[in-house]
This record gives sequence, C-alpha cells and structure tokens, in this order.
Amino acid sequence: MTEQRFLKIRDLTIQYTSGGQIIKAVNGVNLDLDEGKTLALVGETGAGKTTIAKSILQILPHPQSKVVSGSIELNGEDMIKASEERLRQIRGSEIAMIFQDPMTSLNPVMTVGDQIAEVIEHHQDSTDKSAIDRAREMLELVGIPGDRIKEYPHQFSGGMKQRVVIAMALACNPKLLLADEPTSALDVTIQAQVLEMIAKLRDQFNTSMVLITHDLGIVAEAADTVAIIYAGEVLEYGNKEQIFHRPQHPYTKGLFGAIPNLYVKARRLHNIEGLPPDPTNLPVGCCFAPRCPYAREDCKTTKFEAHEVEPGHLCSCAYAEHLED
Amino acid sequence: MGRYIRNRLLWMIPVLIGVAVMIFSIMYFVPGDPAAIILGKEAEEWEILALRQEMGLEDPFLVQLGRFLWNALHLNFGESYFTGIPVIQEIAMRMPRTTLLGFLSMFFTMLVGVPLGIYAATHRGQLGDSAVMALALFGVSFPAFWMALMLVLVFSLRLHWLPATGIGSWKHYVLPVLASTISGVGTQARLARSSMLEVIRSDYITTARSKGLKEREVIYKHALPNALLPILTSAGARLAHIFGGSTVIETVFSIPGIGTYMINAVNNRDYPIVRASVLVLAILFSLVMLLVDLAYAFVDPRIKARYAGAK
Repeated sequence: MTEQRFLKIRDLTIQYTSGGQIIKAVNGVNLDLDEGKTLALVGETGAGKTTIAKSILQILPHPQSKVVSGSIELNGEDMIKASEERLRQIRGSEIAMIFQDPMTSLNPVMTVGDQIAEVIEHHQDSTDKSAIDRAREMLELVGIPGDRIKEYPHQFSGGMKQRVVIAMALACNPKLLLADEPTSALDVTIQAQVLEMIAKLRDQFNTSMVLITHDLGIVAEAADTVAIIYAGEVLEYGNKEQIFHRPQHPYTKGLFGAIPNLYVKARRLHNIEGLPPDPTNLPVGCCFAPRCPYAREDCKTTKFEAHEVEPGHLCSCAYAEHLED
Repeated sequence: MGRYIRNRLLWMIPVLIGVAVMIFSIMYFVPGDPAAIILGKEAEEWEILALRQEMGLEDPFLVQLGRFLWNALHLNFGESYFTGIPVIQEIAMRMPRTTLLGFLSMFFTMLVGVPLGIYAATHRGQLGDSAVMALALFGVSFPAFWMALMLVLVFSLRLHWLPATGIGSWKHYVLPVLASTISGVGTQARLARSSMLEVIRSDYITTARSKGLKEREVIYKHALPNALLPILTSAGARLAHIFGGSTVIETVFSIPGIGTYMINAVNNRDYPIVRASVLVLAILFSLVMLLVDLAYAFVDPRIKARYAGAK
C-alpha cells in the first residue's frame, strides 16, 4: 500500500476536547480513493464520518479538535502538514465540500450569486463580471434559472438551496468532492433528483467523491468502494460488490439486516442491540464487542488489526471467517 | 418599504398622544402647586388663587388636558413659569447639544466596543479574550457619573487639559463623550462577543472556510453582517438610553442640554418644560427605534422582505 493514490489516509486519529474530557472521534483510520471514483463512508450518527471529511479540508473547529497522528495525502501532498496559505488554495478549488444541511450552510445575508461568485473570484483571478457570469452558468447547470442569481437563500426551497450549495462546490472544478450526507435534510422525492444531479456532474467533471451517508440505498447507487465506520474506526472496507454481497463484519451484517426486505414478512425490522460506545470511554478491545452477538472473551480485551479477507477487502473482525450465520 | 416607513410614522401618532396624556396627567396629580412656588412662601391665599386662575390651573382636568394637547399640536408648549422664555425656543437651542452628545457617545461606543468584541470572539479562550472581558467588566461596573467625576478630576483639575463644565468649543464635548463611552463600551463589547461567537459556530461560516477564504474575509464578510442584528438592537437601545440618561452626564458637566433643562424644571415644578421635554424625548426615542428597524432591513434581506410584504 505504498504506491501513490489520489487520496490516501493513513492512521488518522482525531480527538476533541470538551469540558476537560477527551473525545476520541477518529481512531487510526486508513482509507484510499482513486481518481474519478466514489468512496462511501457509511456509519451511524456520531461515528466520525464528518470529522474525517472535515479533516481532509482541515476545517475542523479550533482549538477544540486536534489531529493526534496520521496523514492525509492528496496526490502525495499531506494536508495535515500543508501551510494555511496552501490550504486556502486547495479549499474550494481542489477539494470542495457539500454540507449536510442546506438550510444553514448558506449565508442568509448574501445573494446566492455572490456566494457562488466568491469562490470563483477567489481561486481563478477572474473579474467580478466573469465570476458572476460563471455563477449564473453554474446555477443553470444545477437546474435553477440564471435570473435568480440576485436572490437570497430564504427565497429558495431546501432542495434548491442544496443545488446552490452543489453549484458552489463544483464552481471551480474540484478534483475531490466531499459530500456530507448531501440529501439527508431533503424530502425523499428531492433526494433522488439531487443524487442524480451529483452523479451526473461528477461524471461530467471526472470528480472523485467521498460520500458520507447512513443510507445503504444511496451507497448501492453511487459508490465504488465502501468503508463501514463505527466509533471512529473503519470496521470493513472493500468495493461495493464485496461489501454488499459478501459482508464479513458482524456490524456490517447487522446494518444489512436492518434493511426492510420486500419478500420476507417481518413484523419488526431487525436491529442491532445496544448503542454505539461513548467516545470519551471507548472499549479496550474491539469497539463493537459490547454489541456483537458473536463476541468472544478475547474480543473484549484485544484490539485486532484489520486483515484482508479477500484481495482489497479488509475487515477488522478477527473471527469474520468463522462466524456461522 | 416606503409603505412600511409611512405606517411606522403613523403609528408614532397614537404613541405620542399616549405619552402626552400620561405626562400631563402625572404632572397634574403630583402634589405641589406651581402658583405657590412662583409666588414664594410669603404669598397670601387669595394671591395664589388669583394666579392659579390666571394660569388656567383652576379649570377642570379635561379642559386643561385638551388645551395642552391642542397647543402641543401647534408646537406651543407655553413659557417657563420662572424665566418667561418660550419652552419651544429653549428646547430648539438645547436639543442639538443633547443629540450631538448622544450620537457622538454612541458612535464611539460602537467604534471601540464592536471591534473589541470581535477580537475577543475570534481569540476565544486566549489571553486577549480574557483581557477584553476583564476590561468590559470594569467598564460595566463603573457608573457613568463616577467615571465623569474621575475624568474631571484628572483631565480638568489636575492636568488642566480640558474644561470641566459648560459648552463651547469641541473641547467641552471630549469629557462628557468619553465618560458616556467608557461606561457603554463594556456592554457593547460583551454583546458583540457573544453574538459573534454564536455566528462563528454557524454552518455557513464553515462553508465560507471551506471555500478557501482568508480568515479576515470569513469574519468580516460572512460573520459580522450576521452578528450585526443584536448589535444594532443594543445600539438603538443605547442611544435611547443616552438621550434619556443624558440628565446625569449633563448635570455633572453642567451642559445646557435637554437633560439639565428637564431636571431643573422637575425641581422647580416648571410644568410646561417637563411636559415638553418628555414629549420631545419620546419623539426622539421613536425616531431612533424606527432608524434601528430600518437598519435591520438594510442588513438582513429576510427582514427587508418582511417589511416589503407588510401591509
């Protein structure tokens, strides 16, 4: 795993301090992403997905958060060691982010046109006029009439706002797009439209994407590789076929078990017993052991390294191959 | 928007009528007879009665109230019982001083307080933040009149740099404005800080950062305009407070403004002056509040839209 990848995250560990307590948000995460591909980070709320995405852009809140160790390399350049000035060049132009809640991620007192044009002006030495023209183009690209450029966010619906955010993120043709649950704040009908649009634009611009979601349906549609995140760790990592057809980790299996099946009559959906561990007080052994129906004694005391169950398919469960279903 | 302003101005009419009725009634029922005060202790009963009749004080309450309102409508507030100078003439002369003092104080309070608050918010938890907050605590804790006395003591009596009392050149404004500013800066800085802290946590600030903007642009272009609403509100309240509370500062520095005019009149039971001053301050207050509300619309397009849609 030493060859240069488009995005290579190694041993990433991030902690927050809050009220004197240390919150272990991300714990030794390794991830890879190739150019033009989509990596889905799947996990429950609070699993550390957003923290990973924000750390790629280095926009974690200061001084509460701290990258304890690890590296995030984009084409061989480490984001963690990059200067603030270099990071400003990268943000918005090479890496752009779409945030979870379109209602709050646009500045309410600036016109949408200005907000899109701002990122263009900032990165492309363009005049006000050409930046505004480009902003109008971007709006039309995401299906909003160009003459609404002078309007403010409150004049748009939620789905429209997310389109504006997407237009803003793609305005400078970023190489990497971080999409943090881009549709979870939207109506189901709008979700499909927005996802379709993201996919179309991604193909059009050949953008790589890190897609954060807890919706396995979205993963099945949009992702090439999948990382299952739990308590700030990658429990299972592989391509879409591997994860969907041959899930190995008990947690991944539990997640798939929670999807309703059209052909099986069930009164209740299957769920995973218990709650994710307290990030201020993580278990000593496997982080999933307290909830794992297959947990053995040494799972609670020993932390196993992820191993390859088949080429490119990593799983952190030591007994994955020996589980009886 | 024009319709909104017109409506607000129309609303001022009932407000001012209310204020006028209230202030007239309070002064009517308050104990103390102006006629007796004018004539002094030695005056005979019949002399006082004669004067009361002459002044119209023997008429029924409603008649007097009606007369007051009718005259006020024509900007006729009568003459001072003691000096005989028409009240409106005196107010016209004193008004600019009080207003200038008020606006200058507010301007400098904002000029110093808001940047201090922003600085504290952007350096949260660091030494600079603690220093600003400690300073703000001092500012809030010292009452304006005490601050005024200390300033006079140092700059006028000891150093002889600035005049202690009266009004004339710009030099006379320095100490009153300074005293008023110092006591306001603390509150303003604390408010700006908390309002800024709240905005900095917003998602759109993270969005702005993710665009690669400089921290300065993030703060001044994205955060500040959003943090401005509560700051504006308090600036308006501050200005109103300065006009209303100008009495203290004007008294300490013997500035012939509305405040001293009113306070002397209250002591002398010079009714026409008290009524007119209160009414003028109420007008001023209403106008300031209108200005603040219009400033909101200027800052926030959502409020502007609401005003435009209002009937």
